[in-house]
Amino acid sequence: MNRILLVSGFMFGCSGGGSSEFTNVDASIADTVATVVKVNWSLEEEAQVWFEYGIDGACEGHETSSITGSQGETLLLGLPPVTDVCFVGFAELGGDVVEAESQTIRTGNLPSAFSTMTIEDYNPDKVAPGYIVGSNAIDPAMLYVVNREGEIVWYQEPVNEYLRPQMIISQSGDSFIYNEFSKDFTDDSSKISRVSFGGEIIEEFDTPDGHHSFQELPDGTIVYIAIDVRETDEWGLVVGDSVVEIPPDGSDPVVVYTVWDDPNIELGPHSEWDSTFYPQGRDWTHANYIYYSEDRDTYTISFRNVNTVVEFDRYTGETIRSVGRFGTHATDPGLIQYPHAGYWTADGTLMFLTSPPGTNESWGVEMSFDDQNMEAELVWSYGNDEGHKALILGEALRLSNDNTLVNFGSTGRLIEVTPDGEEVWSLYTSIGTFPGHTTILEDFYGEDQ
Amino acid sequence: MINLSILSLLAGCGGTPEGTALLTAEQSYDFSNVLFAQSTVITSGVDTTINWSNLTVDQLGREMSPDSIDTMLIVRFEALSHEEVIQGAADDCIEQPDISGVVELHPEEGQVSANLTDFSFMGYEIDPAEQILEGMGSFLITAYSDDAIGVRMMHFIEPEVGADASTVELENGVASVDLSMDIDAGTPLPLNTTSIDWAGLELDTPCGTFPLNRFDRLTVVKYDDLTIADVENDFLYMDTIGTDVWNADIEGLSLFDLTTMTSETGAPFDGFTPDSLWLVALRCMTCDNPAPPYIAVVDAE
Repeated sequence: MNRILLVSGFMFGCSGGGSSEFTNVDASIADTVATVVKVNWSLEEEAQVWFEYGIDGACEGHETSSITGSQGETLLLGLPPVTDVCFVGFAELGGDVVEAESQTIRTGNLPSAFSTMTIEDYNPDKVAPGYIVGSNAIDPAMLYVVNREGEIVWYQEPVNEYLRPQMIISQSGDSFIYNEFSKDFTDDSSKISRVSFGGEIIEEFDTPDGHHSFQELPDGTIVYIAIDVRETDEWGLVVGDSVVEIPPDGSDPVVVYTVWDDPNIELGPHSEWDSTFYPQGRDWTHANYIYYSEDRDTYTISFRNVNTVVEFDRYTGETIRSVGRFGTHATDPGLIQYPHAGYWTADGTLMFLTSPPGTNESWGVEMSFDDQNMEAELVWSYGNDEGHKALILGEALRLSNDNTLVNFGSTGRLIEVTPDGEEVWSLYTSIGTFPGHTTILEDFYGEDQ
Repeated sequence: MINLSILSLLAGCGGTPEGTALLTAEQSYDFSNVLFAQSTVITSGVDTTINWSNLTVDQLGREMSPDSIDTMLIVRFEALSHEEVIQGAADDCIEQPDISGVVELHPEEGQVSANLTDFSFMGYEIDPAEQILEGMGSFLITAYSDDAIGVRMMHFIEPEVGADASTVELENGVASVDLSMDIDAGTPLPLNTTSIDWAGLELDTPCGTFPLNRFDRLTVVKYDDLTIADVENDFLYMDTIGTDVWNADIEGLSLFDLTTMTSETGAPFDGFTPDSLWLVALRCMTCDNPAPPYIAVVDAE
């Protein structure tokens, strides 16, 4: 849907103020993201150009990156839907800054299938900076960036036929990458797509048998989890998991790990053994997350059904350390059940979501590892006695201010808590959908976390 | 493609273009609905049959065929009573955190009964012995058809230890909705309205302001021979009983030029006229409640 709405000011000569070296400034709404404003501009001569913009009648509050040229396109990002946006261009020419006349444009509306995000708690003084980047995984699958007021400021058209459980910020910082796959796994439609902030699909590629989670490495390698189905004498077809790297040079994908070669993970029945989640066979390991640590140069994979989180060597696939039912490190046997989204903090601790046996709730947990004594110890948690039980997905994300964003998966709740457990922000979804994985984008024009 | 740049030209500097009505909650009608749903006691922890072969009239009183049911859900509300669930459903205010579990069924063509164990969610099948037990909260069955807005029928099941029940009848009358409305309760839209702008429309609901993006259809209806009372009496068919009706897809929009519309009889919209009754409705075709969130009458003076 193309929308050119309510452009006033420069084009119609309304607003006053300032001389201008701009020869043209045209604004329109991006074709596929109605909350993104595209400003096409031209100058009499090459200069460094940026825009300031804002809402509620103010032409300030946000500032774009600068571009050098005599013409170009600048995106105004981070805007709520159906909002009048004032913007003004600036050009620096030889030390002098000239200012274009201000304009106003209204952002478009979200697709009707987009469900509401409701904010329950919000303490602006205590939350970590930035937007939440993520998705609602199912019914419909919605990719979004939401601000702390619960307003969707970026999205892709919702879809019903796929699961889209994860969207991340690309290493280049100017696009998002997301995965999708069949809702019922009856056909292999798995792929990963890269989409610009302006909403254009930049690239997409098939990820055979891919599911749940992926990462982009600093060198552009994409790594994803794939089901690995094998015939067994005792159990017939059994669904395990492998980890596949897609090199950035386009060469053939490489399997860097398969649970079938992991001597620590025993094959055999468990409580979810007869699930038909994967129609291909017995649901053995049910991996739900893959994480690459640049500092450690290792992968960490989380297995829901065998209650184990494994860190393994990127190059040999050999287990370095693990925790849970088949863990190398001993820990409290009453802690780890259905672990989700294990990853390592900068402090060398492991975080994930667990639903401890015997409780009717899920906890975001942080564990430290003692490699000498082969023990793992709980050092922080949130969720005990809170009554939030994630049946599907979930994670615990340590933020830049040491807060933690606990994602209670199928409960529909995201809760940010301080280190001492104070809730400083919380959001819940409408009926029928719930968050997939999340990450934080501190600024559309700057560094992500 | 809808290009509304002409409106900005007309708008001048910050004003509202002539003929553009800014929609507000004060213009909209009064509406309320009371939902009623029965409960059937079943044996706790035991598989039970749900039979909807006799479901020929939905909870809104619309005739239907039992085999038109395309989706059925069983939702568990651990912390909500039946009354709280009913109120939440009537208000369209049930949220994901209210739900402790959900399973679904997509009946085969002609299928008019199913067991609890036929329901599943993402491959996880229901196990009544563990998941349908007394004391686990409220369990609500809802049935939907792809070709009809809203819930066709709902019914509670109530697991009880020692109960002797093998079938739940999802049939006519187990749930009903009483609608009441006052269509001309609001401030009428001006007769010279040729476009509408709902960017600032804040309709209060029991769970916050109605989301602007949920408005996905604009309906303008002209009645030459009916009164307000006639329309209220046939409220769910307000568009089909009109002399002429103009519909537009307004998904993604917040502003619409009515003069771009063509009616179902092929007539262009030439403006409102004082000799007819006119209604303007913003609708939500994906909501559980079939009543339009916004209806305004056009001033006939």
